[in-house]
Amino acid sequence: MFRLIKGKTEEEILWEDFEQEAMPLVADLFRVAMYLKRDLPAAEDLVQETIMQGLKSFHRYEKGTNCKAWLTTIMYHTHYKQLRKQTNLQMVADTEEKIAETVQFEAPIPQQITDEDVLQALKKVPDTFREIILLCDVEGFTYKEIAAFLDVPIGTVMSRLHRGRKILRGELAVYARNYGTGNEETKEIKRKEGKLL
Amino acid sequence: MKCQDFREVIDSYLSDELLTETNHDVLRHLEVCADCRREIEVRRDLLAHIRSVVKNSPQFQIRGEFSGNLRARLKQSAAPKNVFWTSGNFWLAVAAMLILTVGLSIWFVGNQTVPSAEITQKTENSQPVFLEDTALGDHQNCAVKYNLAEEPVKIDLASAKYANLRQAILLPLQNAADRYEFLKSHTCKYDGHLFTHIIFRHQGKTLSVLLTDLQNYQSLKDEEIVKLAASGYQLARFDAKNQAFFVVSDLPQTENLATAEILMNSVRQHFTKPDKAKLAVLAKF
Repeated sequence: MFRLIKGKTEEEILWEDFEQEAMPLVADLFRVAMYLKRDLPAAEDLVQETIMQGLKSFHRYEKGTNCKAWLTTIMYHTHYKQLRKQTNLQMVADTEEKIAETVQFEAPIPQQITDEDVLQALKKVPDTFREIILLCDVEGFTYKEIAAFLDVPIGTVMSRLHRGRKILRGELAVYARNYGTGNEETKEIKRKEGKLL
Repeated sequence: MKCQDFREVIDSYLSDELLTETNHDVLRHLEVCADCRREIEVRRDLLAHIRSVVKNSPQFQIRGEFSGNLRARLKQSAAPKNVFWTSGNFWLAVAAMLILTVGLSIWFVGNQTVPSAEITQKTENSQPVFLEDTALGDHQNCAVKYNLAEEPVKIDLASAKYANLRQAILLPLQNAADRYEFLKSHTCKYDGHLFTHIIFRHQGKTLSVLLTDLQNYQSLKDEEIVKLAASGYQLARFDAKNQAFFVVSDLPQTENLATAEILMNSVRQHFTKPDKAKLAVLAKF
């Protein structure tokens, strides 16, 4: 009954595999591109270049491995290449330690926050940490995969994630406190500040 | 493990990055420590909330038009190149083209009523087909998540034409050996496309049969069924009478295809030999 496709060319087979493995991931790749570019046209350009490059190199992709991580690696390479073209990119001193120093207080975790609060709080997390939170907590990449994307040691991924989550909890706690919600610890803080009751 | 030790590894535990042994230590600690259990639950909820918010945020949603165009460009760039020139078929094709050109010229001269602009427009509009993405989106958002921007409309009120066609879909599935439980039917809109949507339960899974007018989209060949797999779903498409029919589900591919095959036969029969007696029986559904 089905029209069986016979005598497929290598390109056709490659395209079929690519379509099945890679194309469903375009929406995920777009999210990652938005994390990197924060601009719709730039993100779409990046996705397009990544996916075109992915198709060209797809014969090197090992079936059964993590295609999303494979394509994201290509995306990061492409992104860095674009950055190098745009500017004479120079690494500046890592500001992680300074930022970490400002987050001594272990923020309580708020329990009643809106979606908008989450997005706003994420915006307030410094880029270095937000990127790791998004890659790990939203996209589900492993520490090893993230370390490869960013070309940093796994330990750095771990510490950035720890600090990033801590900053995010701190930011969210502010929202929760503003609403007079949050867990008991949050409420305790408000009581001490004389804002509750 | 003490609470302080637990707090040191909590991030790695949440990311599922601990060694098995440490993981066991954490689990043992959680069994006896209510405070840490609560802490981990709250943090898990927070992570789930963040994940859901970001994934559903409009700013992170890919535009359908962009993904459609991207697929077209990719497909084009993946098309075989230069193979033809080296094969003996090339000269055969040249001969065929010559004959076709001469034939078309004769026909064109003798048939002035067909404006050339229409032909051009058809060619331009027959861009690659991306209805599959829209059909899959409709299944996910209408049948699975109930997350459509516009409320679905009852099928019989929306279109009498589709109400009849619906019966050609219901009968073969309800008569099939393996049970298809009819759930509901309506028309719904997704990504600008109006679908007639019939939802079944089959082998414990939700299965959508979706119909839409092809309009300017390219039609598939007669008796052709296209199958696709995306985001854990299986999709099969066939066309009939300038309409595209989709079967979408998270059933195994063979099951999804088998359903499409059953429907294609029935729909083709419906269009070629409308059996009024059968339709009258089915109208009772």
